[in-house]
Amino acid sequence: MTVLDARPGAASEPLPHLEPRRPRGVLNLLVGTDHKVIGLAYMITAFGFYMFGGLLAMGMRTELAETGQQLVSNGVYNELFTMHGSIMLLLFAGPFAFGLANFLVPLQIGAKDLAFPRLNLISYWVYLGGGLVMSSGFLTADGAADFGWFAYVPLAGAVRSPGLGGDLWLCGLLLTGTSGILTAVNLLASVLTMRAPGMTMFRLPIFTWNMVATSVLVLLVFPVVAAAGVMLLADRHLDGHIFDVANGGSAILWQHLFWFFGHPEVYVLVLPYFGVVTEVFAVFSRRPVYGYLGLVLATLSICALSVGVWAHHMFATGAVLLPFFGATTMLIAVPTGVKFFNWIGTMWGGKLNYEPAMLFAMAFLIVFVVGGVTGVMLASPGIDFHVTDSYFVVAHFHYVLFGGSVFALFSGIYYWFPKFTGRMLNRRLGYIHLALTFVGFNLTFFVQHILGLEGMPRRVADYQASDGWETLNRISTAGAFLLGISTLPFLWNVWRSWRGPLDPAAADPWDGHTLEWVTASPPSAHNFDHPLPPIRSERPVWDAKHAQKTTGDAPDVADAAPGERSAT
Amino acid sequence: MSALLGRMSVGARVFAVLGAWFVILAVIYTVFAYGEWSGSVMLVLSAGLCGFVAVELARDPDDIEAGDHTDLEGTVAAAGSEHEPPTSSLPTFLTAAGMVVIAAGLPLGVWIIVPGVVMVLGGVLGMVNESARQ
Repeated sequence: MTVLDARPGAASEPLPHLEPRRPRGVLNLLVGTDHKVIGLAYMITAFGFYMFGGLLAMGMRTELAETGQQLVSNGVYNELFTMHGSIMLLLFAGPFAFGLANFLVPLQIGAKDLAFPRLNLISYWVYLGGGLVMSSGFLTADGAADFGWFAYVPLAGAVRSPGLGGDLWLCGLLLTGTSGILTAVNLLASVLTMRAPGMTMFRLPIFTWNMVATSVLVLLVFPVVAAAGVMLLADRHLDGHIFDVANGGSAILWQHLFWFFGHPEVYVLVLPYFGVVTEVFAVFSRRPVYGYLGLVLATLSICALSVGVWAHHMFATGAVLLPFFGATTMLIAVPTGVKFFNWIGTMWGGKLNYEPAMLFAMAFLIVFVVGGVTGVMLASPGIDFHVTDSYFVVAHFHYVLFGGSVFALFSGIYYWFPKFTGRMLNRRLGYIHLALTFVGFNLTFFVQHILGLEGMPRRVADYQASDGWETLNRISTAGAFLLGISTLPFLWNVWRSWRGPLDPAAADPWDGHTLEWVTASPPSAHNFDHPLPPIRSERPVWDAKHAQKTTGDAPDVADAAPGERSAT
Repeated sequence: MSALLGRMSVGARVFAVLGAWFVILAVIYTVFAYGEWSGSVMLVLSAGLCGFVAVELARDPDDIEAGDHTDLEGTVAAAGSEHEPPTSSLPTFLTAAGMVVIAAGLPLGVWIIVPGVVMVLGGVLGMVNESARQ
C-alpha cells in the first residue's frame, strides 16, 4: 500500500501498465476482482431486491385498500411485512450504497483498486447468497419469516415461530452482516492507506468521508446483531435459554442487542446518500461544498450520537432510561440540521442546473426534512407513547428511509450513470421518473401520518369499516401503485441507454469536481491511464480545468449554460 | 490531550475521539440505567474497538502517511500504480460460495454443511496457492 511520488510534468504521458488477464462475460462476474465490476454487481443485485421488496409492499397495500380480507391471510400478510422490511433494510439500501462505494471510492481517492480485492469478491457473493437464503423462506412449506424485521422474542422463538423460514432469515442475516463487515473493513483500509499523494483526509470528497463514517458504524454494530442472531439460533435449536424468561433468560435483552444495531443501521442507510446529494448539489450548483469541514464534523457527530440512541425504539416497554434516550435522540437533529444548512448554502448563489440528478436531490431535501421533523417528535417519550406501533411511525420511517435513501440514490444514479457505463441517461424520461416517484411517494405515505394519529395500528391485515380509514387507505394504495409504476420509465431509460443506440458520455459530462471525472467513462481496468492532476483541494478536477478561477479573481460560478454539459 | 491528538493522523484522531465519546456515554448510561448492563457492555466494547483502531493507526506511520503529502507540485500517479491488481480468483468465489452453503446448511441439515466445509477449505487452499505463486 505504498504510493508513488509525484511526477511533475507528466500529465499527458500514459502510465506503463501490464495488461491484466481479464476474464470475460459470466466468468468475469463470477471471479473477477475489479472493484468496478463488483460495484455494478452490488447495485444491480440490490436494485433487484428493491423491486422484489416493492412487490411485497404492493401486496400489502392491495390488501389494505378495502375492509375485509381479499388477497392474503393474516399469516401471509405477516410474511409480507417481515420480508419487505428485511429486504429493503438489509438487502437493498445498504448494499446499494456499498455498490456505489465499491465503484467510486477508489476512483475518488485516486487509487487503483480497493485494499483487498479478493475480500471484496467474497463480500459480494456472501451478500447475494445471504439475500437468497433469507428470501428462500417463501419456497418452504411454512412460508417465510413472519415475526417482523426486528424479530422480537419470544415471538421469534422456536415455540411461536417454529418454521424453517425463521431460521433461513437468521442465517441470511448472519451472511449479509458478515458481508457488510468485510466491505467496511475494505473501504476503511482503502481510504486510510491508499489515497493518492496530496489527497489528505480533509481533501476527501464528501461521499468518501460519509462512507468512512458509514463503515465505522458498520464495524461497531453489525457484529452485535450477528452475535444476537447466533444467540437466537442457539435458543431455537440448542435449547439455549438466553432470551427465555421462564428459564432465567431476558426477552428484552434481544431488543437491546437488536436496536443497538437497528438504529445506527438507519444511519448506515442514509449517510452514504447524504454524501451523494452533497456531491450533486455542489456540481450542479457550480459551487464548492459550503462548509466542508462543518459537513464532515456533522457526519462524524451523527455517527457518534447514533450509537447512543438505540432504546428510543423501546420507549413503550417502560424498561428503558427515557431522559437519556430522549435527549440523545433529539441531539441528532443538530448535526442533521447543520447538513441542511450546508446543502442550502452550497446552492445559495450558485448557477443551478436542473438535471434529473439535481431535482432528485432537491426532492430528497423536501421529503427527508418531513421525516426528520416527525423523528424529533417521536424522540419525545410522551408523544411516542401515544403513536407507537401506529401508522404514524410507518409514515415517519418511510419519509426518513425512502426520502433519505431512495431519492438520493436515484440522484446518484443519474449523476454517475455516465461514469458507470459511458452513456448518458435520457433527461426527459428522468423527469417523468422523478414526477411519478415524488407524487406516488407522498400519496402513499403522507396520509399514513393521519391514519396513525387516528389510531390505525401497523402490522394489521384488515380494519373495520366503522374505523373510517378506508378512504385514506385507498389513497395510500393508489400512491403505492403509482410508486411502483414510476420504476418503469427508469428501467426503460437504463435499458435504452445501456443497450440501445450509442449515446456516448464524455469523461466529465457535468464539469465534475472529484477524481472519478478525470478518467474515461467507463474507467479502464487500471482506473487511471494518465497521471492525476495536482490535488490541492477537495475538488482537484475542477481546479485543473478552471485554473484561472482558482488562482485569479474570477467569480466562483462558472460560465457554462445549463445543459451544455449533457449529451441528451 | 490536544498534544497527543496532534501527533496522530486524522484517521487515528477520528477513532480516538469516537472512542472517548463512547467512554463518556458508557459512564453516563451505567450510572443512570440502574442495572441494565447490556447497553453498558456494548458501549464499552464500542469504545474498545475505536481505541484499538486508533492505537493501531497511530503506531503505523507508513500507512497513516498515505496521501498526506501536501507540498506536491504537478501531476501525481494513482496510489497503488506499481501493483497489478488480481483480476480473477476462482478460489475466492469458491470460499464465498462455501460460506453461503454452510449457512444454508445450518437450518437445512448437516448433509449440506459438509460440502460447504469442503468448498471453504478448497477455496482457502486455492487462495494460499495463488498468493504463493505471486
